[in-house]
Amino acid sequence: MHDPDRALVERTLAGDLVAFETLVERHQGVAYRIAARIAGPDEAEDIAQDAFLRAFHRLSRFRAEGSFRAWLLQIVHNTALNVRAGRRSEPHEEVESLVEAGVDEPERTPAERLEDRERRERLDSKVRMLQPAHRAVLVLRDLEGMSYEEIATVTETPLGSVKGRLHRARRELIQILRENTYDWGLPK
Amino acid sequence: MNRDTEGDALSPAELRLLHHLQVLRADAPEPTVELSAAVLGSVRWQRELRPYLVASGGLAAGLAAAAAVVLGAGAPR
Repeated sequence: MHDPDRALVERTLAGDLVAFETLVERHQGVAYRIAARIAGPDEAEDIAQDAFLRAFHRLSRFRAEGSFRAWLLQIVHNTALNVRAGRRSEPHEEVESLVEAGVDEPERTPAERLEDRERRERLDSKVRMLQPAHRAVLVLRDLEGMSYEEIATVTETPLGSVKGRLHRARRELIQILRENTYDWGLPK
Repeated sequence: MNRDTEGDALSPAELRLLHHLQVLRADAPEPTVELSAAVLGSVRWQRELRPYLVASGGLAAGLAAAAAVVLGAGAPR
């Protein structure tokens, strides 16, 4: 499998920081999103930065048979889970300013935009209620659209277990949403 | 019964859930700072500091080894 990051990794190992900067720019979006969705937005920037620094210092240990992206996201995933595990309890997500919602959606009425925004934030907080292993696999598959193979690498889980874990994660989230007072319209 | 992108069968509840998650997927969180600038800044100073850290680590190890020899020699037999 051709890894589009391979040449940049080799240049970084040879001391070229511009190459590493390109790697960071290429993957900072997905690294941040995964950190935010696993550990919460407050710590996502720190987690993403920490993961990139770890990746830089461990780059000589990166094995070329896998993709750099999957290897990096494995570090992000582990760092985010460690941060989350270090907390005593999961803070409740506060519903942010709902008024600023949906500025770029002129076809929606303010009330509809408010409702959309509230629903997204409710769902986001419910995803964060999933147990860590379930949350990670659901974020990687259903929010990031990763393949099962990549999820297996990122979570260091056997490929055969990924599907089962994803199924259980979806079932857990459905159960959480059914117990919520908000009607999510989930059929039995 | 519907199927997802890799051909797995999905129940009606799972399909509805994926519809909700699609909305969340479209509303992806983004960093407020330029991560690459922050990361590269840290990489640069850590790289400059590294030789000194390695040297001081080596010095500390040498001192510890010397202390062990001295203490070992002075210890009662």
